[in-house]
Amino acid sequence: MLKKGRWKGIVLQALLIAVTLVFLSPVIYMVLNSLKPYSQMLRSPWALPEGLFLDNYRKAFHQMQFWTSLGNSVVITVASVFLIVVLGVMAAYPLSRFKNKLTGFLSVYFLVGYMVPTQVLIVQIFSVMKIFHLINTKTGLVLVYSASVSFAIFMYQGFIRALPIDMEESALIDGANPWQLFWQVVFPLIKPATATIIIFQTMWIWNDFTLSSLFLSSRDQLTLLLELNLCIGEFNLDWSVMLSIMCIVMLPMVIFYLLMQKQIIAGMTNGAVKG
Amino acid sequence: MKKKVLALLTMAAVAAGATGAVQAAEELEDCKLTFLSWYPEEKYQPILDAFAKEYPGIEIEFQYAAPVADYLEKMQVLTSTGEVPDIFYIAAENKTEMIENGYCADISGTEAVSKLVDANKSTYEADGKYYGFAPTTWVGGYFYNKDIFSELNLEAPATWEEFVNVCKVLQENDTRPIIERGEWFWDSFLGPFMNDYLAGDMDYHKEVLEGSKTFADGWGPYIQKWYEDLIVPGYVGEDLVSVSSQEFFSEFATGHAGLLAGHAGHLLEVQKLEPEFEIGFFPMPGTEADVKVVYGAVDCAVAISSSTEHQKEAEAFLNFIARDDMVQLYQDMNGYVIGMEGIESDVDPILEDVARRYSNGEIGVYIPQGNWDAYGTGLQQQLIASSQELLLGDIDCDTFIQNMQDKLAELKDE
Amino acid sequence: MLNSRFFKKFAPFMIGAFVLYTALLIVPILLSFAYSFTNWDGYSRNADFVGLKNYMKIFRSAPMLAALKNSFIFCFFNVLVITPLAVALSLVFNANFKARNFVRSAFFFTSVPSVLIIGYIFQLFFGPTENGVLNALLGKIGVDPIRWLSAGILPMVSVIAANVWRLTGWHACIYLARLQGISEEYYEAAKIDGASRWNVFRYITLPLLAPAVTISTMLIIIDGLKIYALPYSFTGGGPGYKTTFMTQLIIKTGIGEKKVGRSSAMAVVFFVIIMVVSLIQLYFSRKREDEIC
Repeated sequence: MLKKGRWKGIVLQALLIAVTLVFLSPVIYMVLNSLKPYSQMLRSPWALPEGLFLDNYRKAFHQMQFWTSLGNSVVITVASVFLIVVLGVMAAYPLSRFKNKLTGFLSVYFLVGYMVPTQVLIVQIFSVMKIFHLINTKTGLVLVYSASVSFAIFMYQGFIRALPIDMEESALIDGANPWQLFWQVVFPLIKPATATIIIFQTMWIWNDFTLSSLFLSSRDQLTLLLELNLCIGEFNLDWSVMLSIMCIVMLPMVIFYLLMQKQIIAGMTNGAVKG
Repeated sequence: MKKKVLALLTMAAVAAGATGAVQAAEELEDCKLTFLSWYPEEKYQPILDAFAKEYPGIEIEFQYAAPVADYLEKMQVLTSTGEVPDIFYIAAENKTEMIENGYCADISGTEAVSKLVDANKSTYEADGKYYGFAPTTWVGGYFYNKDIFSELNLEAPATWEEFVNVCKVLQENDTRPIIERGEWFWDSFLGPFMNDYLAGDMDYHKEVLEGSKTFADGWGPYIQKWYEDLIVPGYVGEDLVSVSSQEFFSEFATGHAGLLAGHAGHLLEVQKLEPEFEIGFFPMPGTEADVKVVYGAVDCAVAISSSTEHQKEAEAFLNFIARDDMVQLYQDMNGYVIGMEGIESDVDPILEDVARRYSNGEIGVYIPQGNWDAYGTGLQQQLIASSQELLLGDIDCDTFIQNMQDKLAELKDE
Repeated sequence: MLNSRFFKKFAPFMIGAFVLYTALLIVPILLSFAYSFTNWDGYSRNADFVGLKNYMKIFRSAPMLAALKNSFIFCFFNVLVITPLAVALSLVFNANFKARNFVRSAFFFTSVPSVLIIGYIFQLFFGPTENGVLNALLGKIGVDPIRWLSAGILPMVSVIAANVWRLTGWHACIYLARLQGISEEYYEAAKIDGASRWNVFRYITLPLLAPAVTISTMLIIIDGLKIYALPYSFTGGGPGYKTTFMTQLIIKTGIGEKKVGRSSAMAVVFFVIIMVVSLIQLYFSRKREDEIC
């Protein structure tokens, strides 16, 4: 009886793994064929590569400006996420700790941005950026990303509200410096929210194509994803090279994902419970 | 042999030109020119390197956006914010706005423009002034799989009737007659239209835009003919609407399709896939056997910003590309036909004949969107959407024509 | 709430976010209102006031109506398909078995690559010729090529499928988070009462998952209305207008056709619709929260 149950478990698990592999087949396809010459990719897409064929990657690295674009992606993502966290948490605090007309209005005001797709505002955002001479600069793009603070504010509000208020209140009555109180006492208490925001925003900004493609144009400013898009088009049809470029572009995010996996799942918990 | 003589001539020209260039270089200021290119950097590199050697004081800041949609988008964004690069490309799709709104400098006086043949010059002309330097023209038609053709005892068709028959035989033998991408498969209606109608009225599209003619007048019967001759029997298959560029090439290169519609650029890509058969070429045929107009267009043109602070230096860049040896490099880049007097193009032998006939002025070139001025992008998008709907049987030929006419009215209205 | 006399000290905290957000989000929204009454083409240096003409036009335009319809269909079916799949998957994630971590990571992984890349890969998969990845596989078992991206409703189905593929794992994690928060006591009580497994799921798990359903649905809808890069790289919006969505149409009209005025009017209409949808969502989620507390 017991044995039968165990067999059933094993079969079920094997089945589950099979389903998972089928589910992952697009990714498997991509990695597999990035390791084959194009002619072989056309002939037998699912066969294992015949030996270690890294020519595509050599070509890919030759075609891309990998280090420059990786650097740009990192700088842009880190700066934007940093700004979103700092500006977001600072705005969220008064919004969740004081109830008056201003905070009531601003809570709704900041929510608007969560719903409006930035993509459709491109021409209009440009008009604004032009005034400040921010076009084709990383700074400009960072500011555009950072303007999407709505999610962070929304999330932080939930967390701050859940904190007990007594200590902050008594500290303030004792004449504590609000700046220090905020950064030294409150901010550390909402670390889980910060982690969640960092993860979600990093994934979004790193993977964004629409905004970056319009706000950056010089080759030395491009992000990884834009480098990828440069390589796709009428002029390049060697898809096995293209697939290896895609793998290269995806890799940093995969590493990030593998490192942060636990926090991501925890972040989902936070998002689901509080958000 | 011809090529060798040409090379010698070129070298002589370079030697003669070099001294002149050095003199000119002395008058130019050191500066940085921003350049938004239509071609990617790897392809442009030889020209850029040569330029840097010749003009060490002028730095080119290279930018690139992929044609066509991304390029136009970027250009529009840059103009709307006043961040126009010093040198950029204008294409059929945006030349009218760019010129009319004064973004392009008048370059009529440059040596570069004076070297062009008339067709290449006049494509970027407005009110007798020239605004773009387009050194090359692409010409196209159908590439065919010679092995399949000889196996089935087929020959390159010279008339529409023969063409339809070729499609029929291919299909009967389990070969896809025509492969083309989802945004372009409508080009298979062009043959009869270009040769039977347009050749007698090269100003047709101008008249349509002015309103003295309609899409129904010129296109109407030929869309109908296309529908009956190619779509109904399935020679232009319904699945073409979603063919990506990857499949476009692989389908032909793996011998699944007999004909591929395209130009020299596409030929280059097909050859990269190392197909195991010989490739032939024939232009899109009309009812009669003599070809008067082929599928093709003057390529996009290099233009100079009207607001540049370095017009002279930018002109030097243009003149540099126009140098006999550089324009050969330029031609290597895209494989098109050079539209400059007295310069032979080093095109693929498969395309030699049609290239020569173009250079000699025997045939004209045509693609619809090259003639639609400011409405180019809008009408082209309509053409893509409606042709797809027509192929899928969602609309009929009359609605297709009506949609084009309506779109034009809509675009003109404002 | 803190005593309001401290508000002055904390009010400046909001300035940074307020300024940036206003300048780069609210001002552009207001600008699109302003542009929507003009015929600006994005190129010329001046534009005329045209009143409501743009609005009247877009409501008679077939592509606009098609895109609106598509955006709704897309959101609706994404919710309809992702929700049950994600709930089921979350139960699997929550079960105790050896390969659990692998399965979890694998399903979540699909939300890691950029949608742009996903679009390109799916284009290869759903290619219509014998060289399309799926058709090549079907060919091996003797099935004729399927016209994934052209026949009938298949193009929309394919785009939805790609999005479902991308998001199911992610949303399953939202449910998983909720599941892990459910106290064991409920299940023990049910066990004692001898409830069947289905009944446990139906009467205990499902109601407790309800708040997560609200959040997940809201995220799917907001994400669905914004979708741009996926059809951009996957289908290009075709054939015809079968997979053209609002965002794409707005950008096409504004930048491709140079009708910034008209595209702004579309954007305004779209904002209003999104607002209404979001407010309805918000209302329900608030209501649900109240019920629970």
